[in-house]
Amino acid sequence: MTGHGATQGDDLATVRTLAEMFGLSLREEHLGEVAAGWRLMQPHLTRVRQVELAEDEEPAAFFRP
Amino acid sequence: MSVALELQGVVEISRAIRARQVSARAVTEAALDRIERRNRDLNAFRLVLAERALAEAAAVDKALTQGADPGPLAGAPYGVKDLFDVEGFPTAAGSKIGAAESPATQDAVLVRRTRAAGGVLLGLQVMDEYAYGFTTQNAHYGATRNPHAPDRTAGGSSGGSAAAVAAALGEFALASDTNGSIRVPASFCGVFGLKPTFGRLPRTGSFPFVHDLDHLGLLARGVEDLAVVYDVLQGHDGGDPACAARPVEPVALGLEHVARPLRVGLLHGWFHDMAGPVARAAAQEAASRLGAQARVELASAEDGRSAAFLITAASGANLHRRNLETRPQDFDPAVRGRLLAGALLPADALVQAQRVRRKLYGEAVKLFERFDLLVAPATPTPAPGLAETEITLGDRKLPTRPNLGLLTQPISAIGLPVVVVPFLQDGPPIGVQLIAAPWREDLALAAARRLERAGFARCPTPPC
Repeated sequence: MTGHGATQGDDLATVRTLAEMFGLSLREEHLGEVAAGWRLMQPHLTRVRQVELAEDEEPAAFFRP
Repeated sequence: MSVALELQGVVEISRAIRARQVSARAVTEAALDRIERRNRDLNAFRLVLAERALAEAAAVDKALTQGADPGPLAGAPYGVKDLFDVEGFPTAAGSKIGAAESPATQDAVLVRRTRAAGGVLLGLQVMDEYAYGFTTQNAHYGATRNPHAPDRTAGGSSGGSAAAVAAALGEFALASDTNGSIRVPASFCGVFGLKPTFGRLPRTGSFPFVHDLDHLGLLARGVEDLAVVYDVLQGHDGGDPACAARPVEPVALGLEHVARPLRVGLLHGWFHDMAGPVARAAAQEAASRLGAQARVELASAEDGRSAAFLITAASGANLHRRNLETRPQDFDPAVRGRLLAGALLPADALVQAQRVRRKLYGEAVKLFERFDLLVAPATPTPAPGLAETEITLGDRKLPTRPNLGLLTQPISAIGLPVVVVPFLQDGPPIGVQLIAAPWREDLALAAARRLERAGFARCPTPPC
């Protein structure tokens, strides 16, 4: 579980799992910091996912105005 | 008091030096002396380059002696954020890791252009590690203090640059802005800041943070100074793949001559709801003085801010992943956790974030069909205290560090040019964003000049 309502323990577990899946090497003593960073991202992750976009709305990768 | 100490601003100093009323060496020595007296308290400069500064000043004086033109910035002393390459020194970008790298073999393109125009480089200025922060509280190099309120933050990540300009430790500074790193410290330190359109100024020779959000720009204590330096910096460079192949579009001579009345809108919605009373009042006043015709909304501003937040974390993580895994102990703890978390973000959310940016950009383009300029606060509040972990907006309490850029992020997310103007009030200063359509820096600067001439936008007197 992660995001709104998740406990610190949940976030630590999520970070451990994701790091393992993505092959990211993390030191145990930094897990708390990463979990705090992860918590900070959650409202933004939720918000961005909820945005309704038209099918032809292209990504702005290597954005040029 | 010597002539060198009385002079203020790029234009005035360069004019006096070119007229041989004062030497570039005298101006440089006065600037170095001021840094010597003030930097211990402010911590604006990480490294002072006195030898280089005196050599550059000597070159300006020699050119004048030989009847040559030393350039429009003749003898104007300035600093650069610690992420510009400066020949002979490692580009630390606020990090311990970078400081141990090999020295740069040549100056960044913008430093070369400034030198060619007669500018005198004083040194490298303190920043948040790898530009990932809004407070310039750096675990390796210390916190930069706000010259107008030493117990408050200078803002970040270009905090050293804004503090130096505010305290007259140099006449201008070159800096970078990914999510608000010029505009937030400009607001808190009470100076003018220019973040040009994405792709306008080449980033060749500067340390990156987020490749498709990084902008270079500058800070100064007056609009004319901003414009004169900006004109020197313009021009395509093939070393930066994002740099637009546009001709130089000079702005300094046109500052006072806008062809028609500007159509001005005050940004409401997100930019009103997430601003405190001081910030709202400053933006309202600026908009009124510019003859604002309407309150307008960028409906996807909050979405765009969230998109920028995620793209930043993921891109920063990608850039630093190897060091994050092999030597995490060498990172600033305030930065490390967010970068590592960025490496865990799912790909589909990042694609969605880039699509959200495009949507927000479309909304902005529509607004600019009706308006030349949009006005918004630069920061939600004046500078918070260095130890304040929360800012209060109405009945909401928000963590300070990640939220100081909540009004700047939606604008840089879509690459629009912005001038921040400082608003003088009874308390600490606060800035207002004047936002123009892509490539219309001239309009934002002309509006800033109008507010400056009216006495509304003005830097506080540099403290002694």
